[in-house]
Amino acid sequence: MDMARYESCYRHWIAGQEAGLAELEAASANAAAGRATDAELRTVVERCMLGYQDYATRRRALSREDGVAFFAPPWCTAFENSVLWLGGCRPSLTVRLLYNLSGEGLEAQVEELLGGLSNGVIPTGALGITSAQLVLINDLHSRTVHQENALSDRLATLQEDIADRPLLPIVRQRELAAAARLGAAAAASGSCDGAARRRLRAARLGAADAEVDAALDSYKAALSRLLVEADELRMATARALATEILTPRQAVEMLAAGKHLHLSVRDWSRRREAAAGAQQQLGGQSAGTDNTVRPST
Amino acid sequence: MVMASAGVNVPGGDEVRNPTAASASTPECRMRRRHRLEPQGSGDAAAAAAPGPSWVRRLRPAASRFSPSPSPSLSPSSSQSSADRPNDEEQEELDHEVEVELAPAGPQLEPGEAEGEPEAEAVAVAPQVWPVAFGSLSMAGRMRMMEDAVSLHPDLCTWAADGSPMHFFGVFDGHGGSHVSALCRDRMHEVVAEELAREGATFLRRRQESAASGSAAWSERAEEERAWRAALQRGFRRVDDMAALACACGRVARPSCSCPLAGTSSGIVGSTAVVALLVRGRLVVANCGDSRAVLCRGPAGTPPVPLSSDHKPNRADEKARIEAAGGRVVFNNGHRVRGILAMSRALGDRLLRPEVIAEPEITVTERTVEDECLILASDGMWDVISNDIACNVARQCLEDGNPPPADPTAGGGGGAPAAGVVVVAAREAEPRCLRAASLLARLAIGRETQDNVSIVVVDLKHRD
Repeated sequence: MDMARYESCYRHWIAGQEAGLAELEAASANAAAGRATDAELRTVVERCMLGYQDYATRRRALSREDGVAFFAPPWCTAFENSVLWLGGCRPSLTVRLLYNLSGEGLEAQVEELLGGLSNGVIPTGALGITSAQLVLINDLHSRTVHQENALSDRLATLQEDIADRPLLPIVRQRELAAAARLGAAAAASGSCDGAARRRLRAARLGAADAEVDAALDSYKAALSRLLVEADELRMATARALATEILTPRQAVEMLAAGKHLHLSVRDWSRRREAAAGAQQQLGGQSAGTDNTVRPST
Repeated sequence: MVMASAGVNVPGGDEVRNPTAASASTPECRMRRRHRLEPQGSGDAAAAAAPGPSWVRRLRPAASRFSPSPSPSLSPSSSQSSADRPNDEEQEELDHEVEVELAPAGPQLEPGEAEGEPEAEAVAVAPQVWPVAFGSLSMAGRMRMMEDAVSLHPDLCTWAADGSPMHFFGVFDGHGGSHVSALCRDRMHEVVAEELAREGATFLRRRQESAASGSAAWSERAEEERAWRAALQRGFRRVDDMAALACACGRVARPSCSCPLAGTSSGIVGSTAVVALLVRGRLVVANCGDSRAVLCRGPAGTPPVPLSSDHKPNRADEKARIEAAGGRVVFNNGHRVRGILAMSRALGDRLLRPEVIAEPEITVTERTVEDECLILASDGMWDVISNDIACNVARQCLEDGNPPPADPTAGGGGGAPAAGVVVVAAREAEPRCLRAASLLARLAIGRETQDNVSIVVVDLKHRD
């Protein structure tokens, strides 16, 4: 496994997010000033979609090597990992984001409407989501949640399978064989328990072999397939919103807000964990660090 | 609780409204229906044409469609216009039917954009016109599970006494699963229509008996109301009985369903039901649970009129009924029957019987020409939007006919021809209802409602 390549892929993605945000914000400013045509905004949106697609494509290739890495990436903070769903952003979060964006400015517009100051314009919030668009968004939301639940169920089944064949029979079999060997060794060495226990631990540590590797590889492959399908759902939901339901201007606003949210949460959580790490280091030095190294398989 | 209304029928056929397409088509629709029911159609046409020369001119071509011997006084140009107009109306009716069929098709949302036919009441003077147009929006909102359902059935059936169309609208808010609310959406209107037909037949027989016996005790209005109430009560009971047999897969069967989902049907799955029947100049509302129906009366500033009363366990009379049945109301994040259900009446919920009953409370309200609209909605909306705000928002949306500027999803039509203007105006009512419903929905979501949101807005006024 080459973790550096995975992290490089992620850094490339973050750089793309930052550049994309700058481009979207410039496009948004131009649109507000009336200097951007729909065609130009659509081009910006499409570039953003291609960025997402490129990232998904890279991950697909890397996940075939080790899909597990993407489910709890060591290159992300614990906070970032806590909000991951199957290795990425939960697709229905995009709809929630859009609902909240579409609500901005609505109360003020309703006040104007009720005060007779609206000149006959029906409030649609700052983003201008129409009735017809709202119906389509709700429909997409239902489909997305349904597909999310299906993928979540598959992950649950996969995780529960850890307590089933093929892994559990191997564990039980090895345990029984080790116990038998322990008994034999004890008899041969005249009840030297300490030595027998040390040999048992050594046997366990050396237990990795083809059968176990096959079982673990099977699990990883299944996770990899889930990651690919989850990325497809993320792409499909974002693309449906950005290119089928929303206008180019609305799509620019939504995509910019999404990137801004992602990068802000990432920066904040990194800052907090860096501070926590420094604190831990100080505490560790003064208390005298435990130097025991845990053996790893 | 019966809500009394002092409203009286006012002729809706004043001169200002006559030119509108909907108004102009009303006599035609009325004549067509009456002709089917009674061979004396031409006689009624003559009577209806009595007031005002403009009425005479407008109705004469309509009458000629059905009269076996058209009046010789008709000029050739009148005959020609008569031939043209029915075609347009038939085309509009076809569009209307197509829209109605499409409306319930969506599994998660049911926007209705078809206009129900204006109702016509037979009177000696100008006929009373009671317009009905509607729009609805049903959204999961912040919930991942959608348990609400909406049922829109304009022209569901006709009232046996006089052939008046009866329009059905319902909102059903499920809990513990969606299959009871789905059952209500799919079957409540059918069952109610059957019961109305049954009660209609009974009504006719009783009226005949009363006339034969010369009884002075007969009151047409009271007897009609009794019949409608009975039909709704039986309808609710029958659907509630079905709910006990409803499987999570959507099937209603006896013996119980044998599909893999059968075991997942617990006893605490149910639904609210607020149903409105619109017939002639009356609004009949049957409610069970904590969804709500509110009548928005005009002009601006008039207080809204609740047509239903929420069935909450801490409502004094409901609490008394629950405790008399041996149950308890426990406060658990709100007042709940047995600390479980936050409403005192619902369809389904077998395990919470006998405290939780499915008997609807029914109100009958007289419409007035000032009425703006009727709003049916689930508590996902009413929890965060008051009756006042809802009515004011809906009123403004319905009054402001202009579509939002540069609406990207609206069909862009620049300057419409004179004939097109009338058509556009006639259809404009439906999008306004949808816009009212969607604005209320997004306002509820903006105010952070945590529940599903389902809203039906029924426009009760002619709009230009």
